[in-house]
Amino acid sequence: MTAEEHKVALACDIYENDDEYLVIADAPGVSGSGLDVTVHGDRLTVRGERSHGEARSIYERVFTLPQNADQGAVSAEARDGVVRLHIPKTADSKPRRIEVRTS
Amino acid sequence: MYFFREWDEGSGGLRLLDLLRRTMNEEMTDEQSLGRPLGGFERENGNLVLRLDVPGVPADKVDVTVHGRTVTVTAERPEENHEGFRPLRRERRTGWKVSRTMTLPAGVSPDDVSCRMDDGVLTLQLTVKPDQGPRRVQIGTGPEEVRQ
Repeated sequence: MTAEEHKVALACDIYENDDEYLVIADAPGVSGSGLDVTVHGDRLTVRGERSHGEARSIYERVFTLPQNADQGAVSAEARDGVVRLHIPKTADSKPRRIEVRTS
Repeated sequence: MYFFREWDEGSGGLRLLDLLRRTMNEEMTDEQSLGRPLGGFERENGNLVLRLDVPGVPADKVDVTVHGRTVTVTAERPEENHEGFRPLRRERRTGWKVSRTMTLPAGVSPDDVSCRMDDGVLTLQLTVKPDQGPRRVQIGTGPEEVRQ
């Protein structure tokens, strides 16, 4: 790490509903093209790069995905310096309504 | 039951966590950790530039007014609504309003203030005119000059 490179922890909120996990992170100065989201096994890495003059800031956060996360279907979007990650849950982990038959 | 947790595996994971903690302690001030805007004036090509981190603030919630030699910047971050979602972790702060007032430095006229919003960063640019040096004021003499 050089003197002009700063590593900043990414502040995140995490939500869930029956269908997905939603991770929201504040990353001011990071555009969609400066954002890097990688999934390697159950390891999710969010990394954003921000340049201001000659200085550079790197936002980073690493999570362990829950077992019911659909690792191949993670999507991300960035707007107004806020990053949103959608992590769908696998179909077999979602609540399933059982139809009650009547005779 | 499923858990969404920090990555932590062996020394690599621990090193990263340690680095994050140290980074937070050393480089995040109270203002930043509370999610409030942070920024300061920088000199760029002879002009003054103020950058404020205002993630989640749409452009229409930013107001910049110049009154005399005073500039006031106001930014409002709306509360987020995630209907149908259950919170698992909350670290960010939303639903705040911040206002910052500053006096224009010498060499900056009120017409030379410009502002833009990019990816949650508010940039205020003050164009500094080069110092023209002292101006000598002619001293009038005689009664007519004094009346004018």
